[in-house]
Formats: sequence, structure tokens, C-alpha cells
Amino acid sequence: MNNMMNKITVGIVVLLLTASIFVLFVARDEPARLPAEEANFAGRSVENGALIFEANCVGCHGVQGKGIPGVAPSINSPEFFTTRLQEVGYVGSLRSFIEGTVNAGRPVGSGEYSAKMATWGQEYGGPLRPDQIHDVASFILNWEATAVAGESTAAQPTPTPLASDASPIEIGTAVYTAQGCAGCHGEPGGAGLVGPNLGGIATRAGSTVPGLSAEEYIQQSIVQPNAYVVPECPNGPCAPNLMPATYGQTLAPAELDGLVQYLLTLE
Amino acid sequence: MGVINNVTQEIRKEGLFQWMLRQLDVLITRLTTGLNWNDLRSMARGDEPRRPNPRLTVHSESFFFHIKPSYYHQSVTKIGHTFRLGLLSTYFFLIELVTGIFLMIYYAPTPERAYGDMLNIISGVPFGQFVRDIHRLGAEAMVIVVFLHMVRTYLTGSYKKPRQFTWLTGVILLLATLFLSFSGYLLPWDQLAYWAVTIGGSMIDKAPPPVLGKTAQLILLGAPAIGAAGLLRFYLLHVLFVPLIVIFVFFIHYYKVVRVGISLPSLQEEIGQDTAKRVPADKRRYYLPDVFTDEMVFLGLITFILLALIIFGVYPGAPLEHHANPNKTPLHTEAPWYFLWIQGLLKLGDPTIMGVIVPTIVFGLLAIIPYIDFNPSRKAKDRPVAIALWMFSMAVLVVLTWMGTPYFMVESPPAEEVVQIMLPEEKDGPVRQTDWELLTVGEWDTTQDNSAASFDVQQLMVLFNDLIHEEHEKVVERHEAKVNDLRSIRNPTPEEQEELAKLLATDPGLPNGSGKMIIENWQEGLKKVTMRVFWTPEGDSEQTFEKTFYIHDDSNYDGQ
Ligand code: HEC
Ligand code: HEC
Ligand code: HEM
Repeated sequence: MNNMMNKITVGIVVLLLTASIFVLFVARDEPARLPAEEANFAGRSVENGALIFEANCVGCHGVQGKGIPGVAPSINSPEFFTTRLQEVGYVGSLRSFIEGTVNAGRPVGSGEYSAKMATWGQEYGGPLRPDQIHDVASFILNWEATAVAGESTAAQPTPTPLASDASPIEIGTAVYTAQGCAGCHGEPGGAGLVGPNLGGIATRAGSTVPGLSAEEYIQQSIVQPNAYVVPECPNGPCAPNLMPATYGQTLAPAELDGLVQYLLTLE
Repeated sequence: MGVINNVTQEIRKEGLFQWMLRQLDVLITRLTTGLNWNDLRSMARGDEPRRPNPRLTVHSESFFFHIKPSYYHQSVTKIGHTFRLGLLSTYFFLIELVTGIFLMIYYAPTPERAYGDMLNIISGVPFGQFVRDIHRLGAEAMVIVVFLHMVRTYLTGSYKKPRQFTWLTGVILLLATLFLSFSGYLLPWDQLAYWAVTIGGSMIDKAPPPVLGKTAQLILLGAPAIGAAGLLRFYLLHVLFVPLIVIFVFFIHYYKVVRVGISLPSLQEEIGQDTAKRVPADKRRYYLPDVFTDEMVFLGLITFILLALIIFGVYPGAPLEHHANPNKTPLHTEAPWYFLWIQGLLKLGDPTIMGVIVPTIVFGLLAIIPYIDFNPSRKAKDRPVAIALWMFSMAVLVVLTWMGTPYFMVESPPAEEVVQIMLPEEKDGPVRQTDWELLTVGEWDTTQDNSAASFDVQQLMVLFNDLIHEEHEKVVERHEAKVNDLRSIRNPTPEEQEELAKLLATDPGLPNGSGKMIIENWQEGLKKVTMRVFWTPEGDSEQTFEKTFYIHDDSNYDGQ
């Protein structure tokens, strides 16, 4: 018995000693692990933010956040990261400026843009949760390095690149999103914002301007928006010069063709 | 004045040092409720106690020792009789209590904060993840241990007279343990938590009659769906209410165990006899110091194993998925493993019957086992029916658990399934496991030559291609199995072929399937990965499925 007890006592002591050495191992690794985890979650936050931006913001701010003239400002420019806060006299951090704007929107716009920055935060009746606002801000802030250095990261701000054998309609759908048409026209079939909703355009296009076929009318509306100004917009009569008149220069022929083909499917 | 005089006189007589030693010994005796320094030493040496035995007074004077008998029958202290599973259940509960309080310090139960607090525990609190791991692993181990303890008391027939009530309180403890684990499951407020508990919550809703189900659900969740109110309630249940129930019932359970004694191995007793409390002097094994030391060694060993599992990464670590998102149902929602059997039942039929009534009957039957088993004998050879029924139930449990996993009867669209394997929503998967630098920017196609890509990306494309064909095969095989065994040597009849063609027309799988993976630089340290699956059913145009992911250089999904 005597001997046995001693062995057992020694056994416990050895076990507990090794167990505490385990814990020391954890302690040794903690100083390296904590920052690594922090970077991990910061990275995940940018990933989540990218998805949220893609789903909610590209329509107005553009796929790479460069803004769309007349619709919404660039949030991926050197000025945005350097002088913007001074310009508006905001004393907080850039992150809180972004989170505040996205959360509560800009109820009173600067007047330069056709659209309004909506209230996105759930607190203000929008769709995004606080963690999503945080993530989308992480994504925007992640442009800083390249914006300030003046280079564009993405070789080209290609929208989701299409299969090389993509049909014109697929191209058109992608261009519609990427070029921010939805920023003014809304999603087809939904409510237009400042431009007429394009749901059903294929049906009415052929009879809008005498002498122009549906295809020709749509093509003209995109390339020369002022040639015929639609009378009814969601907020009253349509203003001329609101829809950018530059698409004829900026869109590749295949993209323009794609857009027309796509709009022709909206019956 | 008199006291001080006395003390000075004592000190003069004995000398200061001796006097202090004597005072220390008094202190030790008080702390141990009766054992002085020499008694402790003699115990550690394994000597016989002095008379009257001071080790016995400990059991009557100390609160913690009074819930332990002063001696046991030597044959119940053998490890192979009880496997000390009851003790182990208590131990895990204590571990959960201590680690839980640590986690509570850093956690607030609101949807705005909960997930962020978890991130902080993992990335900002020293030992935070370690304690989380212990708490999570401990909780799962406790479920297993309590369950095994039940199995052992069943197999040794220990629930029979006079221990019926001990068993009944045990069933309550089992339920409380399960609910303790389950209520804790929600607290990280991630996708895993949110959807597992949503399934559970929707089951309560199904309790008949509808008024009762709806009311019960409303009481538990505070709203028709899980939200701020539900989180707060689960939190309070988890940290306060259920632990109180466990502690309360635990004392009844222990009281019963000490009161009637642990049952002897059945072969040592006559049928119907219970001699646990009448232990002949030569068969006694005293708690102090023998059994006590055994228990400490055992718990030391378990602690060691628990820590080793965590530190050597055998236990993958307490998971944390993306933030809970009520608008995004994961492709596969899975209950915690100890409830998979209920999920399996749910796949078999009506949710009210399978999700509520059957489990209630199961636990109800379990609770009344001692009152419906009239067989007085505890010997295994006299209880063939009881033991066969038990084994059968265990087998059913295993099968149902398997049926609860997504491997059984969950048919998600094959293209989605392929992408889910390549780039799962949660966890890392082959694409994320690839070194970020080596994800070569470009458009890669399973039908083309990808030699411009890094070797890793080429491998990914091979895997992608294989998966597309595998998933296609799976669908076809499923159809074939449904129609008849077309893979048998026998040639299929025309009707069978027609039937198969019909199935293939509605659910074609991925015929002529191919895949594309498009990798773009998106931001500094951020790449966009678009996964596309193409397939062309016979006589139909090409179909596609597409999903976009962003991958950051620093993010890391392993260990989940
Ligand atoms: C309906 C079009 C529209 C959408 C969609 C939109 N914004 Fe805006 N956003 C604007 C406009 C217009 C402004 C400028 C408001 C002003 O100052 O007049 C703006 C301003 C901002 C600003 C402040 C820029 C500055 O320099 O003041 C940020 C940051 C911003 N938006 C982020 C986002 C994010 C993130 C999303 C997606 C969740 C988003 N926006 C979606 C139209 C939009
Ligand atoms: C700044 C807001 C704005 C943007 C961005 C914009 N539009 Fe417009 N669009 C308008 C307005 C306002 C009108 C109506 C006035 C007019 O006809 O010029 C209009 C009219 C049209 C019409 C004629 C509609 C009809 O019902 O006859 C078409 C077609 C059209 N836009 C297509 C596009 C496409 C395609 C894009 C993207 C490449 C686009 N628009 C981008 C504001 C915009
Ligand atoms: C938190 C959960 C539980 C704790 C802490 C606990 C604790 C204990 C302890 C310490 C014993 C002494 C004997 C031994 O260790 O085997 C015991 C005995 C017993 N327990 Fe439990 N128990 C729990 C759950 C259960 C469950 C789920 C059941 C069965 C449904 C059960 C039924 C019994 C019975 C019948 C005995 C008497 C065994 C005998 O005398 O041989 N207990 N319990």
C-alpha cells in the first residue's frame, strides 16, 4: 500500500506538471497568435465587405468605387482618402465618416448627383446590419493604399468577366450593372429612381419615335439621350442632360450591342 | 488582558517558533475539519489512522466531503464497475462553470455585440481561444460522459429498487445537460449557431396543439423568430437557469447515491437483495485517503487528455463561422451532433410526430424505465429482453444520427454542390487552402489548356473537373437506383429505360459539364474568384451556375 501511494502521488504530480507545461506552450504562442487572428478577421471583414458592396453599391458608385458621373461620387480616389474629411470639416476618423454616411445616408444631398445616398443601416430603417456596415467600410478603406499611390489595383475594373463565349444578352446584363444604369433606372421591373424604369421598354420602344424601330430607338436613347427626352420620370417630367451622354464613347461596340439586346428582352 | 497574558506565558514556555508551529497545526486542523499535520502525513504515507479515526470526522464536518461516503465496498471502487463516469460528469460540469465565467467577462448577449465579442475573445484576449476550446470540448465531452454513465447504470441494472428515483433524477440531468449544450450553441451568433437553433426553435413550434407550440416558442424565443429577445433568453437559460437546475437536481442525485450506496456488482448479491450499505469491515475501502487519491489520479489523467487534445490540435478548435445572417440559409444546415438523431427522425415524416412527439415519448420512456421493469434481478443473464431492447435502441440511435447528416437524403443541385466543395461558404476548402499568391489571375477553363496558371491552380482545375463528373454520376446513379438496378447485368426493360429518361429530363445532373474559375485582382490583398459550372442537357441550351467569392491574403479558414 505504502509504495503504491507514493507512486500514485508521483504520478499525479508528473501529470499535472506536464499539463501546466502544455499551458505554458499556449502562453508562448499567444503573442504571435493574437495579431495573426486579428489580421485574419480584418481580412475576412474585407471579403464580406466586397460581397456587400457588389450587391448594394456598385449600381451608383461603380464596380471599383470610382463613381459614376452625375450619379454618385468616387470613393476610390486620392482625394477621398486625403482631403475629403477636411473639405467637409468632419473631425472623426475616415472609418466613422464612411460608417456614418452608409448607416444614415445623406438625407440632404449636395445637389450634384441625380441619386440620393440612401440610409443603409438597420438602425435607420435600411437593410444592412451593423456588422455589415463595418465590413463594407473595411472594404472601402482597403482601397486607400492604391488610391493614394495613384495606381489602380485591378488591371481594369472589369465587371465579373464573362465567359469568352458569353451571349450578347449576358454581356448586356453585366454592363447594365457595371455601368450603373440601375443607379438611375432601378432594377428592371422595379421602381425607377430618377430615370424611367426600363421594365417593358421592348414593348414601347418601337412606337415611341416615329420612324425608329425598337432596336434603333434604344440604341439612340443610350448614345444620344437628348435626341428624345422621355416625358415621364418617377419624380415628374424628365430633365434633359441628366442621363450621361458619354456612353457612345465609353462603351465598346459589343457592350453597346449587348445592352440593346438585353433591353430588348424586357417586355 | 487575560488572553494576552496567557499567550505570552505560552510563548515563554514553548519558545516563539514552537508556538507558531503549534498555531499553524491548529489552523490546518480547522481547515481540514479534523486532520492535523501528522494525520495528513500519515495519510500520504499510507499508514493506518490513529484511533479514534480522525479521517471519518472529515465526512461529518466538511460540507464537500459529507456528500461522499466515508468508505465504499471495495468492489465498487474498481474502475471497471462505474468507470467513474458520474464523478467525471461532475468534473466536466465544474470545468464548464469555471471556463464559462471567464468567457462571460468578455461577452454581451445582444445581436449587435455577440459576434464582435467572439472575435475579440479569439483575437484580443490572451488565452481566449484556449478557454473557448476547453469550454466547447468540455461541453461535448460532458454530453458523451453523461450518456455513457446512463448506459453503464442501465447495463448493471443499477436503476432497480432502491435506486429508481436516482435514475429518474439522472434523466433530468441528461436533459439538462443536452439543453445546456444546445443553449450555449446559439451564443456565438454565427451562421452555425443561428441556423442550428432555428431548426430547434421551429420544432418547438410544432408541439401540439398549435396554441401550446406557438406559446412555448414565444416564451423561449420572445418572438416568432430568433433575434435579440431569443439570444438574451438563451443566454440566461445557459448561464443561470439550466445550471441552477443541474445543481439542484445534482444534489438530490448525489444524496440518493450516498444514502443507498453504489450498487455492488450484480454477481456478488442474491437477486432482490441490496447490501450496498452493509459493508463487512474487511471489505471496506476508506475514502480518505485511498478512493480520494484514485479519483484525483483519474481526474488528473482526464485533464491531461483534454488539454493534450486541444494543444496538439486533435480537437480542431471551437468554430466560428460568418456572422448570423437570417437572409442567407446555408446550403446544409446541421443540428449539433447530439441532436442529429432528431434531424434524422424529421426526415422520416411529419415534424409534429417526428420532431416533438417521438422524442417526448423516448425521454418519457427513459424516465420511467425503473418503474416498468418488474424483473427483480440485476444479473445480465436474467435480463435478456431488457439488454436486447437497449442494444437495439442504441443501434437505432446510431442509424438515426447518420440519417441526420447531410449524407442522407439531402439533394442539393449538383452544380451548387460542386462549388460548395471547391469553395465552401464556411471552412477553407481546396481553393482557400491554395497559397493566395499562387491563385494566378486569369480565366481558367476545365476544357482548355491551363498551363499558364500556377501548378496549384492547374490542380484545382483537375479537381474541379473531377467533381463535376462525380456529381453528375451521383445524380445518374440515384435515378438508376430509383428506376431499378440498371447497373445489374440484366438489360433494362424498355419501361425502365423510359422511366430513367423521364427522370433525367427533369433532373439531368451535369451532362457535358465543364467549369470555369476566373481569378481577378480586386484590391490590394484581395482577389475575386468566380466559379462557374456549365452543363448542357440533351436537346436543351447550355445552363450555368455561378458564384462569386472574394479571398483576402490574410484570411484563414482552417481549424473550423
Ligand atoms: C442610389 C445610388 C447610391 C447607392 C446605391 C449607394 N450610394 Fe453612396 N452615395 C450616393 C450619392 C449620390 C452620394 C453623395 C451624396 C452627396 O454628398 O450628395 C453618396 C455618398 C457616399 C459616401 C460618402 C462619399 C463622400 O465623399 O462624401 C460613401 C462612403 C458611400 N456613398 C458609400 C456607399 C456604400 C458603401 C454603398 C452601398 C451600401 C452606397 N454608397 C450605395 C449614391 C449611392
Ligand atoms: C444619371 C442618371 C442616368 C444614368 C446613369 C443612366 N440613365 Fe438612362 N435615362 C436617364 C433619364 C433621366 C432618362 C429620361 C430622359 C431622357 O430620355 O434623356 C433616361 C432614359 C433612358 C432610356 C430611354 C427610356 C425610355 O423609357 O424610353 C434608355 C433606354 C436609357 N436611359 C438607358 C440607359 C442605360 C442602358 C444606361 C446605362 C448604360 C443609362 N440609361 C444610364 C437617366 C440615366
Ligand atoms: C450531470 C449528470 C450526472 C451526474 C453529475 C451524475 C453523478 C453520479 C455519481 C457521481 C454517481 C455515483 C456512481 C458512479 O459514479 O457511477 C451516480 C450514480 C448513478 N447515476 Fe448518475 N449522474 C448524472 C447523470 C445520470 C443519468 C443521466 C442517469 C440515468 C438516466 C443517472 C443514473 C444514475 C444511477 C441509477 C446511479 C446509481 C448507480 C449505482 O448505484 O450503481 N445519472 N451518478
